[in-house]
Amino acid sequence: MNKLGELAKRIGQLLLVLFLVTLFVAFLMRLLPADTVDIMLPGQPEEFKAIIRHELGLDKGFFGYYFQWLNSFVHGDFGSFYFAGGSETVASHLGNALPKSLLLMLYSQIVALAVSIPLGLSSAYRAGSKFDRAVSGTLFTFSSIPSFAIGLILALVVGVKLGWVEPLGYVPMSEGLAEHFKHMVLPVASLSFGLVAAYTRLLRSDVIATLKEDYVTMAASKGLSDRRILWRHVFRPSSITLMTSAALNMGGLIGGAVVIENIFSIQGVGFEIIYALGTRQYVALQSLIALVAVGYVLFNVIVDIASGFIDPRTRERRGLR
Amino acid sequence: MTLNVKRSRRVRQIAIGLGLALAVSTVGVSGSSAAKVQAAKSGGSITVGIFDTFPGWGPKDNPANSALMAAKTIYETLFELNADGRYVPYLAQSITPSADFKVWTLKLRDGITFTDGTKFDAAAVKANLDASNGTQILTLGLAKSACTAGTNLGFYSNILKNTVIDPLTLQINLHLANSEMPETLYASGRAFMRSPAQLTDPTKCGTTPIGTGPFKMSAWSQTELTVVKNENYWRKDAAGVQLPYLNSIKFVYAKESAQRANGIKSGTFDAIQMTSASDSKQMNSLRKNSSLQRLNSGAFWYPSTWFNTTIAPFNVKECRLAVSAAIDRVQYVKVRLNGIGEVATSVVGKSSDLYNKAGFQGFDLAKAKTLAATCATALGKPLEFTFPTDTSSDSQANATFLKNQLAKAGITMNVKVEETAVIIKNAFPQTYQAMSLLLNEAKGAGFVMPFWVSDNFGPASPNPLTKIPTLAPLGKILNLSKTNDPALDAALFAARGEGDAAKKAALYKSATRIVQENGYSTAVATTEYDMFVNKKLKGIDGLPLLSGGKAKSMANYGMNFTGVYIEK
Amino acid sequence: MDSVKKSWVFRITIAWFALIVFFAIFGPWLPLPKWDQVFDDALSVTPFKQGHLLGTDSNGYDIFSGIIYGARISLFISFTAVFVGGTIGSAIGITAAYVRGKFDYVVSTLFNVVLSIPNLVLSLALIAVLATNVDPNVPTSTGRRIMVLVISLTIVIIPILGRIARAATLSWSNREFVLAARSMGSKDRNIIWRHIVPNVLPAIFAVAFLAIGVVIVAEASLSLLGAGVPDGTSWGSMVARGRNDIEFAPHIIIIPLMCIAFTVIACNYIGDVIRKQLDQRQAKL
Repeated sequence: MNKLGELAKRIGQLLLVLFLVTLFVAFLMRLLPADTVDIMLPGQPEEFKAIIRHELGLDKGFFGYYFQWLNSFVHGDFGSFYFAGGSETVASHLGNALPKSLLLMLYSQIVALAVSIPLGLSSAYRAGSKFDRAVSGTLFTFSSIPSFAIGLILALVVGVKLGWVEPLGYVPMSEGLAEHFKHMVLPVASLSFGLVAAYTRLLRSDVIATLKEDYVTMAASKGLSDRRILWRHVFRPSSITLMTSAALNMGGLIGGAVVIENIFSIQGVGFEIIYALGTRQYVALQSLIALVAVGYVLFNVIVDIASGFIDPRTRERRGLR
Repeated sequence: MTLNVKRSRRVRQIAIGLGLALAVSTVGVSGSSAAKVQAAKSGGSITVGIFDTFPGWGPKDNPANSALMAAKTIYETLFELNADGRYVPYLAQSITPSADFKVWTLKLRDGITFTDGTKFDAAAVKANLDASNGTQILTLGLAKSACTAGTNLGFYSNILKNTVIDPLTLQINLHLANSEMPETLYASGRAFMRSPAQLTDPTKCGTTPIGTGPFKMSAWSQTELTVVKNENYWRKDAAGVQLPYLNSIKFVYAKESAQRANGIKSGTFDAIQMTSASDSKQMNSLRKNSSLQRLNSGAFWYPSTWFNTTIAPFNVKECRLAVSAAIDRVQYVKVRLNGIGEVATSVVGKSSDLYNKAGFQGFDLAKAKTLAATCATALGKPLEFTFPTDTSSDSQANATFLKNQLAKAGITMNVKVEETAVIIKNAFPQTYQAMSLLLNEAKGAGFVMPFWVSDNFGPASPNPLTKIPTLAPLGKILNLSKTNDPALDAALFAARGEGDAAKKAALYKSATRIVQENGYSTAVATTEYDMFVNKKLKGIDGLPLLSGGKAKSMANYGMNFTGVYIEK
Repeated sequence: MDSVKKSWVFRITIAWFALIVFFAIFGPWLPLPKWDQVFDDALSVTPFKQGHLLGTDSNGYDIFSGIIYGARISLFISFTAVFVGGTIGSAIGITAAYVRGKFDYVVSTLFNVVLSIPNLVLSLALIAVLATNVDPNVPTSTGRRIMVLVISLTIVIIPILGRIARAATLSWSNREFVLAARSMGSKDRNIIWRHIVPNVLPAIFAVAFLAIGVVIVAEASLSLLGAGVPDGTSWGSMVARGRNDIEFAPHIIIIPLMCIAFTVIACNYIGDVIRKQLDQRQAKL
């Protein structure tokens, strides 16, 4: 098949998945054992509820509603949070919430990679040594402690008792870089623990396998330094595995961020999801979940394309998964 | 769980006639010394940790406790509550009743404007009261009044007509006599004066507050509010320096008490509010922390459990009394409140005009079992009911604790966890079998009684709203126990109209007795509030009131930020 | 395998499992106070004091009782979700990989669709929808909440284990002995049962144990977010109930957290052991 055809096919598949995901989320919300508007706006006059029902397309049957919602969704209208005296658009909330969550996840990935790459390389290099076993054992234990537990403990010990950094809240970069990072340290640390364990482990086994490859032996026989071999010939191919794994971990990270945002009172997307859920704003909830899913799918596609671009072999490898 | 829909006070110590005197004093203070004071106090931003979310900004939206504290930086009320529990003019200059307490003449303070530039005058006050008694709906239609027709209507349905006499004088005509009009016009600190432009714009009414307060909104979501200095605020301090001192305040919702405690200890928050209803343990710990300043409200609030008397199981009197008898209040105060609170001996507290022990069903396990058995016979099945509680971990623990106590008397309580906002939506009008809401408060009864009477329109009301089928029920929206008790109504309406203090007190106490003997509602313990404040913040005791004695520095809605400054 | 069996880590792991499973099954018959019995003269007692083995929490609830009752709910939720989800997922995954073609395409796409919603968000959404009662006076009973938790976590597990089963089946269904069986005219059902399932199961088990750990943590996270078991007790709800006490009486939250962590470590370890065995076997092939 030619490249253009393959591209078209990929895009077609992507659109199908996106369509099905949003349909699935809409369907989930319709599992509600009652009328959506009755639940969103208890105690409001029927006339008022009828207006809202019509506005949302909830009077048009499932597919009527879904397509109206989808149409608004792709045009950037994610619906509203309703309260007694009015409504607030989800989009306006997202304007504040999205950067917080994205930065939180970005920093967590960066920190996790920055820690796990040297750890993974050195423990693979000295595979079987005391150092290797100590790293593996420690990480194995840490990976079993839930991130919220780490968060609760860090907030109290590092944030309050030691007072090194802020135990909760969020400050945007525009209000000072130092303050921004002081608020981000603990949530990022809580989220990174699990990732560090996963990445180090993955990198270690990948590197051990690569070290056995012929071209590495050859490079060594040419008298290249160990450090150079490790970085140039071993780490580079392994980095793609790592990147792919980082992308796959994004889902878990989003879930983790929901809990960590709650613990550190960061009003990000996870906080909004919990708020929409608690106040029974099902239309807002549907848009938020759909948004998370669409973002996650697109992110994976981008990583997929990028890694295929760097190393054509990964495309085949990922195809097997 | 306890929510409060409520009230307060604040501090502002008097300086009589400050309105006019201020202008003089400003002139009196030399420009340079005022500038020096200004430089010393003005400026800076602070962050405050709160435990309530923001429901919106229209007359229909009732911010609770710590969210009310934030709302009060934007909005102000005609009257204020002073330290003695009396209601004194604030945006108002004075108020005078007719002999029968059915016509009140309100004089306004001059020289106040809303942040949109509109003058605060009799027409503006009329617009606010018209929005709250339903006149706006009749003249502008329901569509233009989307954010004005809610619980406020129940509260003000006794007002028949508001007439502008001159730019600073408004005449208010009532259906039933009310000798407690200042308290009615204070309404627990929620009877905000909003710009008429806000009230009649349904798209902005609930989202864009325009008040006369020291700050104005710069950004908000349901969980966060930032307010910035109102440069044209009408008050100056004693030295003639423009108020407020702070440039901005950010109020951040942090539901769990440990989050707020962490925040104040680490300096992330400059001030936090705590309630003994759910945060008692953190409160006790912070009270020992000598590096913080503390303001305490005292026990001025009496959370109640309201039984819905129209649906099973609490349409049976014995079922209501059984629950009341099964709650071991001493144990509750010890375990759940960690000693911060007094065991309830009436549905209201000792300082209230309504206080009466007669008929109150306190803890008596043997009696609870007997009552529960009688109740079960009447119902034809064992007593079982559902009780909503908010989502914070302490509130859930409170509910679980009560559930276990009731179980000992053979009563099944099912806990339903909901966000506070959802509970409020379902409580007005009441759809729960039973629920807790902190509405009984303070010394006077003017705010409390509208929640106890069956219909706030009152008997034979000429109010045209009573003829409109969709709006008439709004008179009953505050009736959380859904009572229909003519004796109770008669006592309460008579008490409110009574001018003689002793007779009034006797009537109110008789009403409390009816409520308690019938078990329409019950109470467990009093609630108090603390603010913990960073030591670098000064002026937290509040400014002097403009008239009417010393003000209270702390209430359920926390403290007042108008006179707060950062020590340089 | 023998060397593994002799290792002390393995023995401890098995002992821990045996202990919590014993508590989960026989807990109610042990001579202990009910988890929500209030000892109001023993609030926030530290372990080994006043006759409370693990102390009490700030409500005066005995923590040891809580752990034992909690083991029941936590283990029930996680084992059921993984067992049911794993069974359904594996059945679908194996069939899809064996049949291939359109069915496989549909199944893979659906797995991808469900997997594109992060686990925790998906279970939150399911709970928000399934555990809601319109009537404010009809509470969601503890039993129903637990069932909804199980169902939502099951739905999350199905595509995870389904994918694993599918991938493993793909690699086995092209092996000589499978092809040979096919060419000899064996029935598909027999081939799947005799040749595919036994070979695919270890891979599924390895991941299933990891999944049990994931589900226990997910249950605790949901409790912390207010979507767990509100007025019953699970390890997660004990953590949620005690989160404000961490400063005054850390044992209230540390003890259930340790139970969660030990169980997760044990599950991960067993999953690891199975995977290593698997790798060795594959290396031999």
